[in-house]
Amino acid sequence: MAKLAHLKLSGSQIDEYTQQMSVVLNYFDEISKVDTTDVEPMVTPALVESFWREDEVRSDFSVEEIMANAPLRVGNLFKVPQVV
Amino acid sequence: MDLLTASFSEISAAVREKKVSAVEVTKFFLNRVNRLDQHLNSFISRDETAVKQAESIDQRILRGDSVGALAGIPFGIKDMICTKGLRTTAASKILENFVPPYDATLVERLRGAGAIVLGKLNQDEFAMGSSNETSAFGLCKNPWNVEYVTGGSSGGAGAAKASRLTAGTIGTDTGGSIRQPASFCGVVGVKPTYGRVSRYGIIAYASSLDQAGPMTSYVSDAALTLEVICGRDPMDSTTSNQAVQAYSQNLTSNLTGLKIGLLKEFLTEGLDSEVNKAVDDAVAAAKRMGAEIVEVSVPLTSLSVPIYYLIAMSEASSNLARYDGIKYGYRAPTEGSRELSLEEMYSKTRGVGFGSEVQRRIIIGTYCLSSGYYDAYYNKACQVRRLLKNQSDEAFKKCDVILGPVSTTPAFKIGDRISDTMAMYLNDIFTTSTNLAGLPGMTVPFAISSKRLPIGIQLTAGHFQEQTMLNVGFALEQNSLSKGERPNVY
Repeated sequence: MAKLAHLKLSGSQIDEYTQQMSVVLNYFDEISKVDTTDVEPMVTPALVESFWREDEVRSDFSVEEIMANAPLRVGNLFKVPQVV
Repeated sequence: MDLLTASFSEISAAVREKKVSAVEVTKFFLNRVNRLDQHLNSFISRDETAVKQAESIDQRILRGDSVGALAGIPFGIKDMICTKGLRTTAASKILENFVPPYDATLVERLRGAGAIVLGKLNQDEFAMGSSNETSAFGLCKNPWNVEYVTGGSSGGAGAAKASRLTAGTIGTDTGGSIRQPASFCGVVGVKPTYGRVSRYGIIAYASSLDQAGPMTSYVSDAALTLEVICGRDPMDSTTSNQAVQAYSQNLTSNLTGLKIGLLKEFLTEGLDSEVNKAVDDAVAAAKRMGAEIVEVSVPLTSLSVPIYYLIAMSEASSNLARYDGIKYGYRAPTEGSRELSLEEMYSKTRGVGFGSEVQRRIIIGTYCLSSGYYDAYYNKACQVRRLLKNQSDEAFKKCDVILGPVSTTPAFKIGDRISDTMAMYLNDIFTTSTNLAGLPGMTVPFAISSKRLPIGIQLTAGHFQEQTMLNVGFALEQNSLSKGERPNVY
């Protein structure tokens, strides 16, 4: 699971989380006894229809404002580890 | 005017009438931060421009320009909420140096109304916690007794408000994170209806549950703040375009004709006797103010904590996937001359950058969303959530407002529950169903325990019924047994 979530953990962290995870999942299992036949899942409590913004060209941020938070950059590019 | 006890409308009127300047008000609270926050640790960052912001309000008043309803009122903002040019960390090492290039919509609206941003407030990391003990910047202490927790996740907001380090604060509430610290710290806290306040610029924890709201001394201050921050925002497609009422002007403590529901399920849990008594006293007060009391039932309340954590962790695992060490935030360094692979960089960045509670929730959320478990966990929780919401809609056909406890006990001691994951999660037993159903909820300070810790009362109402809820809060405030009580750090 940690690999799927991209988390590098120590051996003791893995032991600790595994034990806590089983307690929490056991607790989650309480909901399995509720009959949910034909119940539509509720993914949001929003009562409004989503709406669209006009598709307008506008400038919210300068390149520098966005790049300023980059941990590693080369000019105006984000530097990433070699991918291919 | 005593700035420690003045209401927002009194302060802003005095600023507009030049009886006191916005600079004087701001310096008054900055001095308190400098003097008292060493005992609390409620601020993560201070805004060095606060006095400048105040000068600009004063200049506008001198020029005769109109200034807003919150003119000259200093606010502390929970560090989940983006502030342009001011570090915003979510109390996490992974965002330790993040400086947002924009203001959250609610911050923009506060500034537009003349408010001053004083700084950013401590919280649990990524709002994941109920005690403010998971912050990467150290825990925050309860001003009533520094050996006790503030509650969480908006613990810094609760503490800073209770100690009057700022006039107002803004928190966020995903499963009780405004209401529970408001109760533990003895302040008013309002979580509005889902879709009432824009989430644009609020760091996402669980997007279908997150809402921001005010934490203040008085119900009228919260009402006035809501008038400013509520309303549709083109940048958040879940915001409602229902008109925002003049909550503060419509406040009334006459509850004649209102039905107040007592939730059967709330009163059978193992309640602390002093919390139980506070609820009884609040019910008696509501009756005196004209309300009729009825019993209502939402049987699935008993499952609200597992439904809540399952959905919140699932959404969190997805939302926090964005912290990858590339565009912003912490990035794991190379090991000597060896370059890390992309995979190594991701997992080391997230392994070091996130604290243990955040990692635990990401892992469990990832599990609940993973192929083979999705139907049994995430999808099932969403189905039970629908049933819970339907039951809650039925309950609000029988009453206008539900009154009950915020938590089973007053604040607990620092360290008491942090190592017991389940005990900490069960703190949220009375607050999570409100977020699951998308309803408004609030805390009103009402009593003081024998250990001199505050006890708040929780009110919830139907969707967009903030006015009715605030009115009941206003009536309880006038009957509060904790009126005039002050915390130790003050």
